[in-house]
Amino acid sequence: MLESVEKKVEELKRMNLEAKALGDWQFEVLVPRERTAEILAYMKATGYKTFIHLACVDWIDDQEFELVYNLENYDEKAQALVKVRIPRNKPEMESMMSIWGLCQVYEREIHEFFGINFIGNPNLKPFFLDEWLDIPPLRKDFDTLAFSQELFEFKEDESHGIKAPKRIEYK
Amino acid sequence: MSEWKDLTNFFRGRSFWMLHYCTGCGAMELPPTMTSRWDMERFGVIPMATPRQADILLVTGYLSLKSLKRLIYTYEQMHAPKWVLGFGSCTINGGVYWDSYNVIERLDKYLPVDLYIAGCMPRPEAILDSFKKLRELVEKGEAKGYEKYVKNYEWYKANQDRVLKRTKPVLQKPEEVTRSA
Amino acid sequence: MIFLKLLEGIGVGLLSLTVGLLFMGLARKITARIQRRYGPPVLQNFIDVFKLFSKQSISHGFAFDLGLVAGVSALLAAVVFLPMGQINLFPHNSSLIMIIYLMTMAYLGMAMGVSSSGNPNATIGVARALTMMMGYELPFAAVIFSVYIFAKTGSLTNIVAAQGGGFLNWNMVRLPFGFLAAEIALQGMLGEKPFDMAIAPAEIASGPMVELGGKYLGFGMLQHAVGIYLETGIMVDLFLGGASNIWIFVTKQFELFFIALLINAVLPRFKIEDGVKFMWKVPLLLGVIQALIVVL
Repeated sequence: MLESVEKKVEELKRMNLEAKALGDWQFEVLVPRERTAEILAYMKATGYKTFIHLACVDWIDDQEFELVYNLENYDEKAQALVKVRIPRNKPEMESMMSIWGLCQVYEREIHEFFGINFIGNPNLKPFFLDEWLDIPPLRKDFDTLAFSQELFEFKEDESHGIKAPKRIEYK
Repeated sequence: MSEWKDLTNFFRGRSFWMLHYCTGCGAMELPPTMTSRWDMERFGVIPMATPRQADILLVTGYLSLKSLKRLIYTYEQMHAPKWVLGFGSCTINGGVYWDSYNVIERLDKYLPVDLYIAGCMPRPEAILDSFKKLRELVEKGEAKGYEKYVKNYEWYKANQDRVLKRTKPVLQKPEEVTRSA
Repeated sequence: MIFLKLLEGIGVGLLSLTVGLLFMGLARKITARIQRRYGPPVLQNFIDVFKLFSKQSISHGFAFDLGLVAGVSALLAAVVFLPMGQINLFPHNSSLIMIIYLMTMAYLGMAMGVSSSGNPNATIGVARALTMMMGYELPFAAVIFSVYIFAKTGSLTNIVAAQGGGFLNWNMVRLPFGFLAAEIALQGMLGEKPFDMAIAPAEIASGPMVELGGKYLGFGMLQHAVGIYLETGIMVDLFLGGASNIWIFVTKQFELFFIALLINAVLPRFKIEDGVKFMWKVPLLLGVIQALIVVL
């Protein structure tokens, strides 16, 4: 494991945060929502200057969304995943545009695909989807198969051997 | 007059100028088909830069709703006689995107497809074979997709509008949507 | 008598179209062989033209039609005045200046037609083609100047006659720098690489041809065919001593075209400003040196 990653994890633990290394050059840290801006600014000041990606995970069993801020330190060749959990029934988050202007695009995308409202982001207009009227498509309670069969008019036809497709259940 | 038609069909079948609509992975199979290894120019097929100049429209792979709209514009800019080749299983039944919310499943609901090439992806040999097959169809005067499109325009237009101009949610009622968002 | 001349003129026009299309087909075949491909049939371009004229087409207005027709007809008119072997319809009237004037008319007609289609790519393509024309016309004018002074005549028939009597009398040998300059200018005139920025398919969607389809594209192809015939024909008359019959004439034309083709097959494309800069440096310098040698 990289020495700097180890040090960073220790440092974050001293700040009362759940942090753990994920490999030789990567670590994650779980941050409460109200401390996100502070921690991200701290990370930026201490080497993790590059904001790579903002991802979102829908933990439907926990009724929570998880936002993952993916940061990189090119000097140390290390990566940080800053994770924030927000409740599913009130999907709201502060925009991080004041730290990285780049966040604007990622927040707009996540607003479109998960319906999370980013407070302070000036432009959350639809980005990729044309005329989308259903619930955001990447939420786990959105049934893509039913949607696809309904919109594209799937018809079962025994005479031509067309059967209804079945979803494979992964354990 | 039928001899004249046969003659024009003979020439049309030997000079396909194609416009490849490169959205999906099928676009990757075209460079080897064009260049030295398989050389489709020996069948008179060459790539063209604009829809005005093209005779055949290759739809290389999956089509999202956004690109379907552009594909229809492109098709309608082409001059008759024109033919559409559906490429790979994505244009036939959705392929690996069978349950995707944003990828159409059957291309010939929206545009008149003259020939499908099966495979995921079809190899260059299959593409060359499809050109020969299309030539046969054209010479026999059976590839009439563009006439079908004009004749059944209402049906095609209704299908296109159904997916492209949605006015209400597909699965839920509007009040439920506003509540959850 | 006039009727006969008219028939002869039509014959010459058809000849130039056939030879031009044949050259284009051979060009595709030879390029394919250079790239280790089998290549299309040699007569592929005839098939293409026939197919294009059997297609439906859309006009973009009167200027569009007129420009394209003017493009082909002005070139066909120019071909009539070109002495080619024993075929020489107007032996006392084959002024080079007039032929060049008609050629320019043709390209301006084409430019007017395609810009009236309203497609921005066509306008960019036309702008590039006219800029390139400015590039190659200047060295070509310098070369014509030295040929005029050397032969002391402006008629192509007399220039050809002055080169009679063997290989060593050809202007190619007598005016070597001028010939080189004219060769480079010919590359630009034919629109072959490295001077094909006007019809860059990947950048501006084939430039002037972007809105042409069906019969209009057929006219565009015919114009290109006659253009090849006329431009190589002028070079043969100016530098390769003309020809005693039409077969030798076409063979000489093909030699020139073949060289242009080989250069086309191996070189990439210039940027437009680099192309014009190159034209104004190397061939213009060669042309001016040649003119100085001739004058002194």
